[in-house]
Amino acid sequence: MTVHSDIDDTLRRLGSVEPPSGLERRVNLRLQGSRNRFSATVTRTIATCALAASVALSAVVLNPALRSRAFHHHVTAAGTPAANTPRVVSPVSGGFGTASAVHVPVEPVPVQPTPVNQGRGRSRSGRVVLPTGNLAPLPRGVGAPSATPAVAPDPTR
Amino acid sequence: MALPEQDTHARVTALVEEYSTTLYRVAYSVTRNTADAEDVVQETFLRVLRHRSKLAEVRDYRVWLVRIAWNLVLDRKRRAKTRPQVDDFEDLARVLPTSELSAEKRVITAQRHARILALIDTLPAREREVLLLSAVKELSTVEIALVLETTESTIRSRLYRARHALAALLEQEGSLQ
Repeated sequence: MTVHSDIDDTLRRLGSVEPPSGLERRVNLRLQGSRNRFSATVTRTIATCALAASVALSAVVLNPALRSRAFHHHVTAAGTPAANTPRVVSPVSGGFGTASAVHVPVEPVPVQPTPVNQGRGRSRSGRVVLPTGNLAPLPRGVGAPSATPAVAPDPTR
Repeated sequence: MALPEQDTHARVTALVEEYSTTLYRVAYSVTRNTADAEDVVQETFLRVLRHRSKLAEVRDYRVWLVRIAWNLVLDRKRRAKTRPQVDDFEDLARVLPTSELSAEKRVITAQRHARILALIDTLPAREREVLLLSAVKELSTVEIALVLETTESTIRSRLYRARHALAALLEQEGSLQ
């Protein structure tokens, strides 16, 4: 036998090895097991998700604070009111969500008059103004300038 | 476009029936172990099941499956970091089809095959891979080229080099004995 025929013979025999009997059946069984495992995993995942969703929904429905955050979130997110806009609160007690947690007094709350809320001491633009009448005497050591002081030239220029 | 689930299962089952033997031979050529080769076949079809959405896009199932099995078996061999056991002549005589010979001749033939297989393992990886895949009788040169993602002429030249190198090793070994 020559070397090349030896090689051919070995390769031919190696390439025509017969698999153990029942190989296809065992492969199909394993694939079937894998499919079943996959469907079981999917079912378990769906069941877990459904349970988690129901628990979360129950928590939201039962807890007023969470409920208001969940159902009225769009009010703060979409239409944030301007800073100076007065907030109108319904005087009705009870309600749903945030309204249920706010206690609105039935009677108007009396406010003590102060210079600020009476509009004294400030112009309409908000600048402080000195009162013109009934000038109180200035404290000692404070001199009011009678004229606009001359501005000294800037030495750096 | 993905196939419906029922069609996919039927297709995979048909692939198992049609290509298990080929894949087993491909795997066995590298592992030379029946259990490992069977594991590779099973793992190949599990991969197919995992990527069943691509089934409709596959043009040549044989090449596709052999490529999956080939990559798996090379990975397995790399992880194992062991050479295939070729010293077990009895096992080799049982597995390699030499049933037409007498018991004594069968052992002698198995020893000769084991020697050649051991020398194949000493060849450079590229040449060895082409030689082993060319042994699988179901695979043509074109298909081997597709599996190894190279050209047919490259496969032919690697095969030529591998055979000559192997013959030289055998002659050298024969002259030493």
